[in-house]
Amino acid sequence: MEQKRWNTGGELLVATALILAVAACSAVVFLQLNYQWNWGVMTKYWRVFLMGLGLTVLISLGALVVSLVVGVTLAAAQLSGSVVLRWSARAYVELVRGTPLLVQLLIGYFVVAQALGLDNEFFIGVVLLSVFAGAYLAEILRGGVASVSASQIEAARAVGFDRAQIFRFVTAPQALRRVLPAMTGQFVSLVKDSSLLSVIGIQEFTYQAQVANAATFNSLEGFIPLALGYLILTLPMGGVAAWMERRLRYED
Amino acid sequence: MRIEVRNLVKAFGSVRALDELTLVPEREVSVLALIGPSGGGKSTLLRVLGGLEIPDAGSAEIDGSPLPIEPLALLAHRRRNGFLFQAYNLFPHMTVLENVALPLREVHRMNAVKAQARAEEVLAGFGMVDHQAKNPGQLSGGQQQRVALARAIAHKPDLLLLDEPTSALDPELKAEILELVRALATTGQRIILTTHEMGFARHVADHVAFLAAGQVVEHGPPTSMFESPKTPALQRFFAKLNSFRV
Repeated sequence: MEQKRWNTGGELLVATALILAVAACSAVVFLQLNYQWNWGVMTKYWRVFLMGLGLTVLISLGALVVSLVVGVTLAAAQLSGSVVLRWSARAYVELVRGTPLLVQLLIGYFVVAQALGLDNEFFIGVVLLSVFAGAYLAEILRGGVASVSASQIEAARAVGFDRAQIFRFVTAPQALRRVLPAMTGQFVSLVKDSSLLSVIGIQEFTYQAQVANAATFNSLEGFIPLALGYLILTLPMGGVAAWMERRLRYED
Repeated sequence: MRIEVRNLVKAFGSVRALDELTLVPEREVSVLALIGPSGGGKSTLLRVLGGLEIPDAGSAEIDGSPLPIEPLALLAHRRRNGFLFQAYNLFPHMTVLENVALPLREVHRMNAVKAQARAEEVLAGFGMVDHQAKNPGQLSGGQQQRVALARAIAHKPDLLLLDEPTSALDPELKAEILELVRALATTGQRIILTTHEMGFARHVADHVAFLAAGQVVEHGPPTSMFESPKTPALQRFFAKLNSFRV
């Protein structure tokens, strides 16, 4: 399919107008604040920001892998023939999705991690985020598998595929294409949600921005690079997802 | 082939799709056509004979061997046969060639070279070799059905089962597919099909069974069925079909 391009002056005009409008709103907000910006002292803290960003990247990557393992396991359990496995996975998913991440982090850190004597912040961060994101991934994956039509499964049986072959050649590839956008969204959320780890004292990006603000007696300067830093991480993920979707595209 | 179906029952919920169905042609049959009103049990019988559905009760034998019930034997049964659906049911995420070649490799244990050669051979036979690199979504309905037919016969099935192979097609495409099926029949391919194409049932099948309400109401060679239907139900069925004759 031909991709839609920016080819008319009208679209360009609308885009320009939108950018101007956002800029105007920002100007009004900052003027209202009547805030004395002080960037000079902040620039000395770039190393702190970078360290925080580094830990955020590491925790996000670790949680991406582990949450995928958790999600696949839970989805498989929910699709399995065993009632015990199905119900256990169901209970896990409902429990995690029914409580706020912040509450899970507080309980996970101050109750569970303390009780087990854990103090590695990378490890704790990865596990807590994976427990959370894994439940959502499980739902996405389960829905993807369930969305493969009965007639496709029937055709696969008719050509003589056994259960494993049906999954490998028909169910999995068709489900994968359908869950890709939702999974990317989930991974983007994972990166952003990692900012909540600052609340339990894990020294990731958001935590370090607050440190820099406090140390320089600034209250706001640190938040601008913080927002930009998260955008730098999340925007390419959307690009990668779009590229994968194009590669996996076929007409139904 | 000798077909012996006795007291076959298959229920979906409270609906008995097959209700003590018995069909025992007294002669050897090469092409069996199942005709009758929609919902009469044609497709269910075909699916049971093809090993896609397990009957609740009764027995079915083809050439003296009973239809298996245990999963592994059923899988082997499906692998011996070829099945064609009304809605083609090609795999949309694979090319035309792969739709035909993949089962040859994975189910029938051909090596990649042989599987591709055989897939190209059957696709060429149906005039589809120029389209083999496309995905099914890029083909017309008639082209998709030809690919599906190629997939169903590529492994030289003992028995080819066709479930209303032309119902989803435009009239002129119907004729094309029916011509391909007729050609297969003349090579000795054993076929069981459900169809609404009475002309095809009459001229290609050597045995016809009329099903209604989950039972075989009447069956016999096409000439006697079409020229002198004995049961009122079949007479009414033909009368309705003929009411808009050109």
